[in-house]
Amino acid sequence: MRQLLLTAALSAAAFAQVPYSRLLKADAEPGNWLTYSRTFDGQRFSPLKQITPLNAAKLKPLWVYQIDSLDHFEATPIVVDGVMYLTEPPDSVSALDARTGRRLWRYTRPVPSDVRPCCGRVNRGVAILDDTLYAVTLDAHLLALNASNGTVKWDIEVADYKLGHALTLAPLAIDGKVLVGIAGGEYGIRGFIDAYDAKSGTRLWRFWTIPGPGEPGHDSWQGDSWKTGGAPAWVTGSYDPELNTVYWGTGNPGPDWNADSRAGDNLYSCSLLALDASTGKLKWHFQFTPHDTHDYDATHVPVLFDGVVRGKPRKLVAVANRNAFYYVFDRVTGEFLSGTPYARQDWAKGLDDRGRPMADPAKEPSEEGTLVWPNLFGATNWFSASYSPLTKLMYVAVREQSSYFFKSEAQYQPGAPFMGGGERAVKGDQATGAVRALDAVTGKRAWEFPLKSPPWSGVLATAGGLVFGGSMEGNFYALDATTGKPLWDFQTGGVMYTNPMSFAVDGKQMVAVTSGHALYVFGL
Amino acid sequence: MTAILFLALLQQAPAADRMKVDWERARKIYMANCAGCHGPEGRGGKGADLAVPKLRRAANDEQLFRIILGGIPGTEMPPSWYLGQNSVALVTAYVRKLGAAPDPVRTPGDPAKGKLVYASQSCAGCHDRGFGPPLDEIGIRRSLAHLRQSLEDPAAEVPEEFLMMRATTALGKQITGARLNEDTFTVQITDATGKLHSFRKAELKKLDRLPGASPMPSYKGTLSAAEIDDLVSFLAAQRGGR
Ligand code: HEC
Ligand code: HEC
Repeated sequence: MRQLLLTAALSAAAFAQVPYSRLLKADAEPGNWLTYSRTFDGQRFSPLKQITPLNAAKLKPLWVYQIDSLDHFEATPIVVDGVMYLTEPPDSVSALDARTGRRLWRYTRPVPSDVRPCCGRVNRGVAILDDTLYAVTLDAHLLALNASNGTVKWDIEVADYKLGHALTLAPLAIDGKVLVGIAGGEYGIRGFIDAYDAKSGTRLWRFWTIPGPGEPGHDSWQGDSWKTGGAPAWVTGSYDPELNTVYWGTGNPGPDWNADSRAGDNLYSCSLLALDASTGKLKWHFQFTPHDTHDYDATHVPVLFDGVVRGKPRKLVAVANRNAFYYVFDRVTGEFLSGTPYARQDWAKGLDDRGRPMADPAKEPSEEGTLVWPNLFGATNWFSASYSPLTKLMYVAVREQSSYFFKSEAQYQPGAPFMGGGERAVKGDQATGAVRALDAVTGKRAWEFPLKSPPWSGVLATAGGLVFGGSMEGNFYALDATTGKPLWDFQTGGVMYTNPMSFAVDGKQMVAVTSGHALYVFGL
Repeated sequence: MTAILFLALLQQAPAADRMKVDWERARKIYMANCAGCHGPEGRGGKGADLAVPKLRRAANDEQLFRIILGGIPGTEMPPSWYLGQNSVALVTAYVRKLGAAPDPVRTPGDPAKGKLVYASQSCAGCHDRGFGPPLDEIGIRRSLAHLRQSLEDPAAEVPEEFLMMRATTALGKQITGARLNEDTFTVQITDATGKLHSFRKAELKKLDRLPGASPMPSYKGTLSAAEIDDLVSFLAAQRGGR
């Protein structure tokens, strides 16, 4: 049966052969989606333009793929030459016929029963290089699988899950290397970003996101607090091949809400890091939220694009941050160019000339609870923003919600939650959401589309002039990329923790998104 | 946060017997985080009566700790993990103390008479048809004071799922009713006759939320004080079939 299926699929599509040269020029393959964000620059933009504002109302489901698990289905699939590869929570990697949704193979590696990732048994996708898929596991392993049948080439332990380490992101595969960032910021880990040899799985370098003794930045931690200071790196980074630089965001310091034991800025938590891809050496860094006490991780896909700033053409990197500010930097030098609030916030009185927030001491978590905007999930979260080089707008799924932040005791025990507080919802909370289009260079709002609730779905902009997004109530929708006007929506019947993507098979554009426990694919 | 995190936190629960209780601190935590729903003496309000020797959902301290830390999913009882394990342990001890020497609760009227009032007012006409919350366990969930308030001033606290909304159609027709559901693009409303209305928001001229209104009429004035007392004791006796 399996054999038959394979043969049938092969007659139409071939299992992947994706040399690095193809990844480098991913933009030249509009119908494929080769990496987590489609291109190394993290733009999550599809050059496909069959679906447009004029015909979007005719979109309909083409196929649905259901998973067996009840965990959040957060993966972005990749599509290579008619085959879709994705991860299914908590522990599977699958290949589907992208035309029909029929499964071609599935690999499952059961997770140990004592794995306790803080925020769900999730997995956000795979990377591909040559004939190999790379995926991570909740017990912090990195796997290399044969793209043609899912058999294991190698399986290495990245870190000890019993200490609270986990892996949930889609790896980043670049020239001969596979990069991953660790999760576990609620467990007193010490964060890192690793690069592994794509062929052998040997570790090539590790960048500790918390500097050790003698390293610059180490003195931004009080006493031994650096050993359990968190700063995870749980969302996939971006890559500029010309500059040979990897851009990666880091998460909160730990314990999250009680900072009494970690006086100082706590570098490089809540930061954007620019790393030399060959050596893992730090080129520059920017810390969005020094000495964070609100769990404002900066774990976002950094978006790389070129733009003109105050009359000067620049290579830029931008981040719509969980802390409610939208930042733009020169990605060569790390120079801070601008920071603008894009959602309601009151934890900071503003940013100074160098982008450092003027944190309001009255907004610190307390034993009685302190009301703060945004809540701990932030003005946005791990789900992706999208940049259209056509409209030059940055599309961001925005959360508008406050909460009471609490501080409590925090005692480190290996492998146990190390948080020191949390948040309580506001009674009668009128939380809402929106998709906002920001001028990518200035952060100025061009339009907004209001959502009933704060979303957990990222957005996708397309060359056809559309922006796709999802809602907590299961609406998958298309907006006009220039005006924000809603053009089409579909009730998927599940909660959407996801990022949409688009691909083409036989010249037909399709849009894929997960919702609830299924993957939906739409087309005209 | 997720259930998984609660489970991890539970494994760190401090043993109650080894803990020295700072009662003043425990009281403060209770007053700040629980009294709003459960009342200053634990006599209940929107939340259940905690000043009882046997809690329905918590036979022992471990279960009580678990409920307070993680909340009761599917009810208005929220999780309190944000307080940290020590505070949750303190408030667990405090809830036990509230239940240690409770005054007997005296219901004000006669439940048998209340049952007749209930039937004569066709309360079930709404409550058994989904145009009001089910009342079969209401005596466990709510205090006497809250039950009385529900009858005399139902608009004082309207649960999310019965928010009143008014839809104005393109032709100017107005439909007012309880919101059953809503998403970014659509809304579902039942009117007082039980009729379901489903709208695409884009097709409506206007959609208003009426947060101060309740679908339920006030019975203050319509019913005598004695009848309301009887109804309250009838409702307080509704404690489920189990
Ligand atoms: C927003 C209102 C609200 C708050 C705040 C709240 N509770 Fe509750 N609680 C409820 C409701 C409603 C129930 C009844 C749930 C049900 O059984 O339907 C409940 C049930 C309980 C129960 C179970 C009672 C039983 O009979 O078994 C306990 C114990 C409890 N709460 C303790 C607490 C403590 C301690 C706090 C503060 C840390 C707290 N609650 C805060 C609303 C609240
Ligand atoms: C027109 C429909 C309607 C009628 C008639 C009606 N109710 Fe209600 N009732 C509701 C709705 C809707 C709610 C929820 C909104 C609110 O609490 O204001 C409610 C709420 C309540 C509550 C509070 C429930 C809770 O979870 O706190 C009680 C108690 C109650 N009703 C009892 C009665 C009794 C007793 C009668 C008859 C004397 C009655 N109701 C008649 C619609 C009705």
